[in-house]
Formats: sequence, C-alpha cells, structure tokens
Amino acid sequence: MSTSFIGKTVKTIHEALKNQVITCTQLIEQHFSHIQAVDPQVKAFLSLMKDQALEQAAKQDALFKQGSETRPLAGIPIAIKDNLCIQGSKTTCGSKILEHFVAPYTATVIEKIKASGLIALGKTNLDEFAMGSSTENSAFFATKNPWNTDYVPGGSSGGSAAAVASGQAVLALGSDTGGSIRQPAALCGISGMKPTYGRVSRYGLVAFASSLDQVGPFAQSVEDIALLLNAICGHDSHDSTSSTEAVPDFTQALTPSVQGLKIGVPTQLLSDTVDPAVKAAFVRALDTLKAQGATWDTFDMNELEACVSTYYILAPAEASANLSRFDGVRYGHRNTQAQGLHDMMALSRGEGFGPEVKRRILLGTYVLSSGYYDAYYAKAQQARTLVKHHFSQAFKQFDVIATPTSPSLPFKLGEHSENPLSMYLADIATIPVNLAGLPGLSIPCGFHEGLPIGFQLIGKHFDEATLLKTGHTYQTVTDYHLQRAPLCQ
Amino acid sequence: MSFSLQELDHLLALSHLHLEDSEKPHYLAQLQRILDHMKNLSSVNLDGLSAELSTTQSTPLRDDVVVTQPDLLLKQNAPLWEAGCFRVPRLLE
Repeated sequence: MSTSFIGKTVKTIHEALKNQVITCTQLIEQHFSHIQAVDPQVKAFLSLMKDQALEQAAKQDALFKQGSETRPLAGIPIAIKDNLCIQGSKTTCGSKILEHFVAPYTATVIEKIKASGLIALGKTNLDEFAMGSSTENSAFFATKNPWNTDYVPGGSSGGSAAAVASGQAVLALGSDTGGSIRQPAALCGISGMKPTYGRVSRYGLVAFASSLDQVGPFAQSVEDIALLLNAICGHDSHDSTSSTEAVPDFTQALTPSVQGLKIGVPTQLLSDTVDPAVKAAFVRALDTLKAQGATWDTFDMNELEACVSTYYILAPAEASANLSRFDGVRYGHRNTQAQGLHDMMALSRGEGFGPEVKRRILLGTYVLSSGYYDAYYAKAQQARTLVKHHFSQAFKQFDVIATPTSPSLPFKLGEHSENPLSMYLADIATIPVNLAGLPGLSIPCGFHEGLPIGFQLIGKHFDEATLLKTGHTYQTVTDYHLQRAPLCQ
Repeated sequence: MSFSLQELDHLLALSHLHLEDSEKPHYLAQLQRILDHMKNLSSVNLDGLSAELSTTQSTPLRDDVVVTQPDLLLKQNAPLWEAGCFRVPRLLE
C-alpha cells in the first residue's frame, strides 16, 4: 500500500515522484479514489477524465523511471474549471444550454499545463457562465464547502476551490471576472491568484466579460501558485489582449522578506461593513507582516462602493453581447416546438439559461439600450477610469494594497439566493482589481467557528512577483495554509 | 426611476429571451432593486473622465497567415444538421 499524498503540496509530491516513493499512476489512482470517496459530499466535479489521466500517468512513469523528468509540475494532478475548452471533451460552463457541447479546440492555458506535464483529472463545477459568488447558480448542482458542507464554497470557481481544499486535486485552474478565483479561495481556506489582465491567454476560455476575465491558479500554498503561474503565463497570438510583457521565473520571488515593504489599506475596508471576525483576522495578518519588517497605513478609496455598480453595469453589458452567440442555431440547446426562427431563439435561450444569467443579460441589454447608454454604460466606463486613476495614485505611495478578500464569512447554501444584490455587494473588495486589470492574490489568514477567512494582496500591473513574495513571507511565519479541511483527510 | 413591465417586455424582445408571464414580476422586482442601487454612481464626480476603455498595452498583431482550423465539430454540436447545413425553422412562408 503506497503512502497517501492527498492534501500534499507540489514540492512534496515532486520529490516523491522523482525518488520513486510513489509512481505517477499510483498518485493519480489515489486521487480518483479520494474523489470517489468525498465528491458525493463536496460535488466539485462535473466530469472526470480518468482514462486520459491514467494514460498520461503511465507515460510520466516511464520518464521518471528513466530519470529524465525534471519539470517541477510533471505528474501533478490538476482540476479544470468547466469554462475552459479541452478538444473532444464536454465544456458546459455549468449551463443547460451547453450541457452536450463538445469543445472543438483546446484552450491555450490547457496546452500550457499539458506541456508542463500536469495531469488533468476532470472539469469542475461553476456558477453558470461564471456568474455568481457561491456556485449555487450551476444548472447541475451546488458545490459544498469542504470545511462545512452546509456552507457555500464561494464562486464562481467554487468547484475548483473545493477540489483543492478537499484534496481531490493538488492544483486547479479557475477564471476571475470580479473575484471568482480569490473569493472561493478565501472561503475554502486556500491560495488563489488573479494575474494581471493579459498575463494569461483567454483563448479557449468561454467569454463572460472579455475586458475583465482572466484565468488563474488555485493551490494550497503561495509556493505552488508560483509554480503554476510559471506554467500558464505568456503571450499567445490567438488572444490579442494577451500581453507581450516578459514573464519572470515567479519562484525567484519566493524569498521570505518584506523588509521595508509599504502596504496600503483602503479605510473603507476597515469599517463596520466588514464582519468583525474577518476584520480581526485581517488586522492580525497586517500586523504579522509588520512584525516581519513591512509597514501598513490606510488611505481613502471613496469610490469603492460605486465600484460594485460600475462592475454590475459593465460586466452584464459585455455578457449580454458575448452570450448572444447562444441562439440554438449552431450549438447548444434548442427548443424543438417553436414555429418560427425568432421564437426558437427566445425559447431556446429561455429554457437554456438559468435565472442569474437571464438577469444579467437583461441588465446588460438595458444599460446598452438607447436612452440609458449614457446614464449607465458611459458613466460606468468613466467610473472605471477613476478607479484605475485611484489605484495609480495609491501605488505612488504603497508597494501593495491589502484588503479582506471578502467582507463576510462563508454563508449557508440558499442564504442569499433570493437577494442577488446582497451577493453582488459582497464582491466589494475584489471587483476593483478587475476593473483596473491588476493582479490580486488571496491567502488564508484565520478561521472563525471552523470556517476559513482570507485576505487579499493587490499589486501593480505585472508585479505578481511582489504579491508572491509578500504572501510567501506570510506563509513562512503562519500555519493557516497548512491546515486541511475535514474532507481532505 | 421605475422599471415597467412594458420595458421588461421590450428588453426580452431585444435580447431574444423568453420568460413566462408568471416569472416577470419576480425579475421586475429584482432588476428594479439592482438599478436603484446603481444610482449611487451619480454621487461620484466623474467630470472630465474618459469613457473610453484605456489599456496599459498595445494590441499585438500576428502575421496575416492562413492557419489550419481543427475539425470544428459542427455536425456533432449542431441541434439540427442536414445536407451540410444547420437546419432552422422556416423564416418565410
């Protein structure tokens, strides 16, 4: 019987594979056994790719046996959010409208992880088309928080976050349009990063809001985030918004030092709008970094509350345009009873989309319609310019900006389902980062009644390295990231 | 500003989306609440700010070279496929 590597970090597993303490096939089999045992409770996966994973593991074993495998991520199991295309596999986006859709091509980010030797275990659950903060908006089922299955894992990448937190995968990929990696990372007690807009190719990521979407990593530690980031970043000629900026070796940033680092904290995110337990954990995290040589101070970001309105105008506007392609003509669900073409489209979309997606399509159509464009869309674009400007000003004074990732603790399933606005308002700390296209890293900083709390570090454009350095320093003197959910045992 | 049922019907037509009549009051109330909240944008001073989306980078262009497309699985994903075409309900009588 081989030693269990469930819930271990990349470094530990890599050493074990290299020294042939465990074979890659055994490692993958261990993870599928664990998925079989715990996923009926967590419900992180929409589909599994066991045959392909074991086939790839056998190839990896041959390389390890020859001693020719040196790639740090080779053989490591990874979970993929089901809005990233893998040729020949179903890509549902958590939606009935794409329930039977088979992707005709592979996302660049998937090609990159394959080239790094990572082994995809399956596709994870999400809020439909990545619209939501709890993964309850999936058309198929709700994912549960591995720390307490009465609670949501966050969203929209809740399946990916829960898969890592429950030990079903070592790493995962998600997408983040307004906090969809960072918020579930915080609620599930793991690390998650939204890289700078353009750092990672969006080719093959099903579009929600193209000017805000970004693919990013989940892991148990910042060290593992850096390794996965190394694998996925870089320019892609298939995505004209992907950056040509040079990609550093992010593991070089993993030196535990924050001496002289200046941290800025928006005053508004130390106010009573933040849950007292979250605030206490956040201030403790700031003081921990201070004890390591950093300084922190507050600054005003008065337009924070307006950021939520700005986002919920711009993102639905882009979504209403992006989702117009799902019309029942070329792919996806079609109503077969409709008499004419227009009825067929309206009925297909009415049946195929869930309530949150319909709400956002309607909102987006409203703010783009003549008569309301200037009052909503144009104003929101101006507000986005203002947010970017305020971040630029803040970064003249500070090296990084810190906030609680979510102002509230994880909530129970169904708690906000009838009040979408209350769910939107909980994105207050993560949304501005997408509006400004900045990188953001969420890391665990405490627990309250057994539920995890996370805090967020925001960096300058393309300065993921400073976030990784700060996060790594924090994790060398704290052990929140070493704690595992009950379902990860 | 009040959001009316007629306006909702207009939006449904614009977005090619069907809702059952029984669902409309619920959507109407939720959209009204969200739009009311968005009024807080009016309290932000936006004078002189650009409404253009500015980016920090130029758009890299690739060479104009024809690339081979993979099999787009058109037939496999089509709701209705006939004689190499997507079949849709009749448009003209």
